Amino acid sequence: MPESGVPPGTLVMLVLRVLQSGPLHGYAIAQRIHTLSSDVLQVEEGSLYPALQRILVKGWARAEWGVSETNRRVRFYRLTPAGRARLATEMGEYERVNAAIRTVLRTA
Amino acid sequence: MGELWRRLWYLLNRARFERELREEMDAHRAMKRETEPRFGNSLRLREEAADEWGWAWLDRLTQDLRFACRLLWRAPAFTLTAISVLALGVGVNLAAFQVIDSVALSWLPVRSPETLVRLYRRSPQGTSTAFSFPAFAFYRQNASSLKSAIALVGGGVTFGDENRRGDAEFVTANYFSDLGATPLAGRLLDSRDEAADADAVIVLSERAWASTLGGERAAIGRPLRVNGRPFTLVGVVPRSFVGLEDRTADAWIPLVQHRAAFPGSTLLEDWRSDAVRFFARVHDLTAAGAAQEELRPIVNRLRSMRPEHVWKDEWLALRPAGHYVTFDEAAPGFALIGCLVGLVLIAACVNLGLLVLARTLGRDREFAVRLSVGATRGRIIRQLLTEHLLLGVMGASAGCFVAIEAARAALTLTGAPGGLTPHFNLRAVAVAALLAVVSSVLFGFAPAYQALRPAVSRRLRLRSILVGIQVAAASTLLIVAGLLVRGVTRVVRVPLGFDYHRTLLADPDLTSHGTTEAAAQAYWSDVETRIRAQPGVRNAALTSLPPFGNRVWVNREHTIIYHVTPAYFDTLRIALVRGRIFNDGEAGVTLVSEALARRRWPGEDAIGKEYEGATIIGVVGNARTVRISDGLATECYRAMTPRQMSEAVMVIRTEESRGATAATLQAVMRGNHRHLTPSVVPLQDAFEDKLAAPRRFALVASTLGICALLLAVIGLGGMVAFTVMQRTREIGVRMALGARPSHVVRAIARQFTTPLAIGAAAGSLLAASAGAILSRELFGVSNLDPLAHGGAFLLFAVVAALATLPSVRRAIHLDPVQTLRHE
Repeated sequence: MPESGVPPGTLVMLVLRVLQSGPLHGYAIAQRIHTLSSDVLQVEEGSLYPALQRILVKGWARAEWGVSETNRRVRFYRLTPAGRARLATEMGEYERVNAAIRTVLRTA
Repeated sequence: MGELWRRLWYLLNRARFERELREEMDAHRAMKRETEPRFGNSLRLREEAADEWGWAWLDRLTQDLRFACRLLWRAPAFTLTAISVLALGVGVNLAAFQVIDSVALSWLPVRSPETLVRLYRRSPQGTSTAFSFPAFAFYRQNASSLKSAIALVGGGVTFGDENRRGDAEFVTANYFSDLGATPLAGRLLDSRDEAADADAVIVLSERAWASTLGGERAAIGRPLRVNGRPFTLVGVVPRSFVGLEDRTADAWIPLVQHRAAFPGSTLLEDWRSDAVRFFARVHDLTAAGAAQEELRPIVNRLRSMRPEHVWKDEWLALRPAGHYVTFDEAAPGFALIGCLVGLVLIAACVNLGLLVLARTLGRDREFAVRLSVGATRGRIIRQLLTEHLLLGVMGASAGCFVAIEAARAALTLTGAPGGLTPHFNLRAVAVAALLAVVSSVLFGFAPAYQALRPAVSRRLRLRSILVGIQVAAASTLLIVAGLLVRGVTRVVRVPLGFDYHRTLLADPDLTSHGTTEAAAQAYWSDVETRIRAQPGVRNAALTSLPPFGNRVWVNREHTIIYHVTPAYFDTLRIALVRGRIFNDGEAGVTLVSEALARRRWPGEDAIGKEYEGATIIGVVGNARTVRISDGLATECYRAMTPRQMSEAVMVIRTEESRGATAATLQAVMRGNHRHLTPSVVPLQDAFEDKLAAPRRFALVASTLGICALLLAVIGLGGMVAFTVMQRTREIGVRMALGARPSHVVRAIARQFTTPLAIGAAAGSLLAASAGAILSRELFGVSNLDPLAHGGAFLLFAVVAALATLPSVRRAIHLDPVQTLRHE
């Protein structure tokens, strides 16, 4: 299956979603999205890190330094309550839009 | 922690966060498998991630600022000139604003200034601020909406030794406590001073205390003679005190002690003496209207009790009194000041425009290079904007220093009290910022922007317009200043129609002492005999209107009506042109001035005609004794009758070097009327006092004119210098082809003649219309006065020629061969 980039506007939601099950570092976030999407979605550093900085500034996640499974110093991102709330909103909105698009595609 | 705080946190700890981001992204790269693609330059990726912190604009701004600083640093002559020009323009305007702000917009530094009101007597026929004390007391007692009524009555007194005169304010005892004033030493007046058996007390101003008693603390609580009467000095009012309408007072005395200072005074009982100025407090200013309505029936009640002392249809108006001057009353003056300083601002802005225009002529190449290596037009515009805003901010900051000093000097010059200092409040900062942005963006950036558009003809037209405006603004100010100066000097040189040298003005202030007509008549006949007997006294006469005084009595057609004794004309050296002078007390006859005779009966003999119900028996020369700025001088003289005696003053002509001095004559004036403390001053001094205000005004206008001239010279000088530089090659060619220096000068001058001529004409026109508005200050000088107009142009021409001389010299001495090889 060919790989593709993440649809615009959904990256923050995806990141927040994969963080829901526990703190992860940047590379692991990209990996998780990649595997969970059955290798379809490819997250580039060029878009991942701006998104992470945005999440930090907005207060949706907190970062703390730790050691990775390969013994590297990495930053783990942990979801905050504000981040959870945001995820719920974004997912709700996404579902709504998605359903609407599907309806249009089906009936038009 | 909100989002804004987090962003700020990132900004403040930026180095640390950037380091962490780098470490994190490096780790990410290292963890990537070989098969995964690698995109992008890592620095660029990092910068994009860091942009999410929201400070990218700040980075670009600092970059622009750094570049602007470098550019300005590299052109120090331009930068310094531009900053000085802006500092002058902004400074002068900000100073004017601060003066207006501190006198009319800011509240007085007293307790609750927002509830202070002043009462005015109003009727369809007129307005007055003067109440009689019984009326004041009646309103104080009956108007429940007025809280703490304050009365002020002015009076001239001597305190300490007999020759030290000062202005006293007689005030209700609540005056200081109500305004929240604190004493510098001792105590101020309070309710115990208003008791019927209270001791006579006085408080002095800090200035009077220092000058009379040497600032001696021991003097407080000790006796101090006021008008020769025993008073006790109880305290000192600090210099910083700003009161109501008593700005120059030297002393304050409880109103109930008026008779103690002026024996015989009937002020407190007399319904006819309108001497009280009436202030009060209302609950808040919105209640002023209601209070005003509430006063109507009270006024009507007083009218039914005292019909002769309340005007027909009289009502009382309440006006806010919490400012140093009321804005409405001072608005015309403010508008005038605004226009004058506005001209300086225009001159400064235009000047900046010329400077920038000249500078950008040499930047064409820079812009072209930057555009060709990939800068967008937007980026260059933003850069230019930053550059000129930076100039504007620097100029305005320098202007703030100029403004503080200038505003302080202006307030001191006008004799404002110490507590009234120009403050640097939010309003002032806003005005400064506005001035900086308008002047730098409109007049700095706009001409620079022209350089991005390569239409040279348009740029030349813009330059001509700027030169024209510059000349117009400068010449307007110079001419207005010239007119004012001419006015003041004219008063000194042009004869007023009488001789005030070696003449004294004696005023015993009989009205303050409640002197009756009969007593006044007896006093004057006694004093006149004794004054005439003094060695060195040539003549003496009585008049109802003191020369150079503020009192004036006119009829419907603005003829001034004097009541004088026959010796008046000889004493003041007013010539009798025709007919005869009336005898002492002669009724039914009158004298008129030549101007009045000519105006009323042109081409006829006025003698024998009727005027104001009396027969004209003589015509005398025009003598502007009261309204010295009045060019018309229509006057009418009647013989003095006992009715005017208590208000009358004496004019005394003395002989040179014969010992009749103010001090000796004062002693004579007093004689055995021990309760009086007459003032005797040379008329020359009164004349100087009268001229002080117009002189100050002329000084301010001249200062502004010189500012504008300076600006114009900087602008024109710079412009010509750049023109010569720009046309070096052309001049070289011309000279190589045999042009003489005069041709070269003419070629340079030609492009400036039209804007110069139009600017000068516009300036002349503007100044003439300003002169028409100012006619009262011009003392009869025409607003088209050729000397003022011509003088301004001559001054401008000479200074401009001097400023452009170096560039012109350079143009003439160009070596054609060298200039041609140079390119």
